[in-house]
Amino acid sequence: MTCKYTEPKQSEKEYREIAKLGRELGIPVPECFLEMEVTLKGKTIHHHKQRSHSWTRNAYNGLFTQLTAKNYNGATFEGGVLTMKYTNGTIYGNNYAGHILSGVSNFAPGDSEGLGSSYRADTGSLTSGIVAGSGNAAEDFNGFTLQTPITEGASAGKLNYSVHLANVKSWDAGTKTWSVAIARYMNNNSGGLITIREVAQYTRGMIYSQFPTLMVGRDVLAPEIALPNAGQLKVTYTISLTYPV
Amino acid sequence: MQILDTPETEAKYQRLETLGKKLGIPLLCGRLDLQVTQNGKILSHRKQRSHSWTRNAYNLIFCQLGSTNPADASFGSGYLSYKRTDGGITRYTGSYGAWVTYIDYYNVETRENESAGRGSRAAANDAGHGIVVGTNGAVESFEHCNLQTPIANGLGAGQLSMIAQEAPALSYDAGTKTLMDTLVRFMNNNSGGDITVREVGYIVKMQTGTAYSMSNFLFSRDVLNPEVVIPNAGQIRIQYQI
Repeated sequence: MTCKYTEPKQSEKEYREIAKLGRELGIPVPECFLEMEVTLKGKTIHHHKQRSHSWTRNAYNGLFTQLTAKNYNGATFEGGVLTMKYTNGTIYGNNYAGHILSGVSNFAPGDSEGLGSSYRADTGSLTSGIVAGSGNAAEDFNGFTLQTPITEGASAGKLNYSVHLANVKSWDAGTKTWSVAIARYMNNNSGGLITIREVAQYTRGMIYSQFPTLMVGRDVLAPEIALPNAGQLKVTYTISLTYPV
Repeated sequence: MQILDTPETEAKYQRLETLGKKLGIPLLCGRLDLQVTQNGKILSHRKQRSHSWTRNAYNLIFCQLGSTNPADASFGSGYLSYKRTDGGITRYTGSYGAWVTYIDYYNVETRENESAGRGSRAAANDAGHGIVVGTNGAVESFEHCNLQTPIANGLGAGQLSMIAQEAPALSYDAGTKTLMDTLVRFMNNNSGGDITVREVGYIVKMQTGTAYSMSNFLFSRDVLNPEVVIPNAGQIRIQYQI
């Protein structure tokens, strides 16, 4: 089965237009793609790729604080306030610098790609990485968690989350584009069908002495994806940035 | 006040911002505002888009969103690393990487990053950090890691007194849903002669090792066209808004 690209023509045209304008004006335009493949007994039964539409406020705030060297400061999570909102609902902004990544070495910036840091969750862990859910509430810029996360396990309605794959980065010299693929497998050993309606990127960030789980993107799937018992799902987020030269 | 961007260019920026909002893509746009005064009188005032994020800024954005270590030994097309203002390359070598986030030396904790001398806020007399100026009008390059001819701090010929950068001010436009950080720095010309400013840079400190090891990185450089003349006893106010 070949991968089906499902982004509608009109929005794909607009994505290409903004990328072109960014190159012309010297403004970085980060892009994100979501690819999902379902296999059963070695056979691919679903494979599609689409644009990810849903960087959240956490991602915007994280990027903004890095380029401007601002502190997180505030008590609410809304327009005009620079805070982080953890997946447990805690809002943090006590006038400290923060980071949507983690990986500290001897009190200094370290390995952001290491297991347990940033996106790279370990086996069975939902504290970071790609996580799936069964809720289909509309994507929300202020969203901070999946609506209904599918928990780790082998019983009804649960998934076995594999260890996150190592990041795979690549450079396209023709288009001057850096890309990094962040991927994770999930197995359905529940004994029944599991319907996946939402998928998110969780990252372990850092602020003051805390290493919170932050949702930086959530995509609602339309149509939803049916993962049969004994089936396997591979979810890949590819983040890319096109450079002027 | 003089607006330097043409209506056609401005329309493109506005189209970009409209699409960014519609498609949910974070965009970081910069604006420069320069005002020269002398004896309380405004001699010139201009505003323009900043056109020139450097490779350092792009690499930071990619490494942040993609949780990727900047691990390459070279700096340029197809490499992920940072180039310091002294020309040296900073990269992840298995121990330390580089973040703008400020980490305490004695605890695994982040600290505040807006004091003078940290982040993007220059201390008094520091001509190599924060908002900086130079005299060289060489064309903007994505690869630049410093101003081409920085103006030093001082009272001698060709020098400017670099005032401490003001505290960064956060504002929000609820209509356009735009968050803005405003950086302002004054510089006084007590050199005895005119000083011509042809380039403006934005230099940020990143932590690159333990024990508060910080280095300076050029994130943006704009060539001024036309150039800006600061007469003796004059003052320039530079506002950089992201």
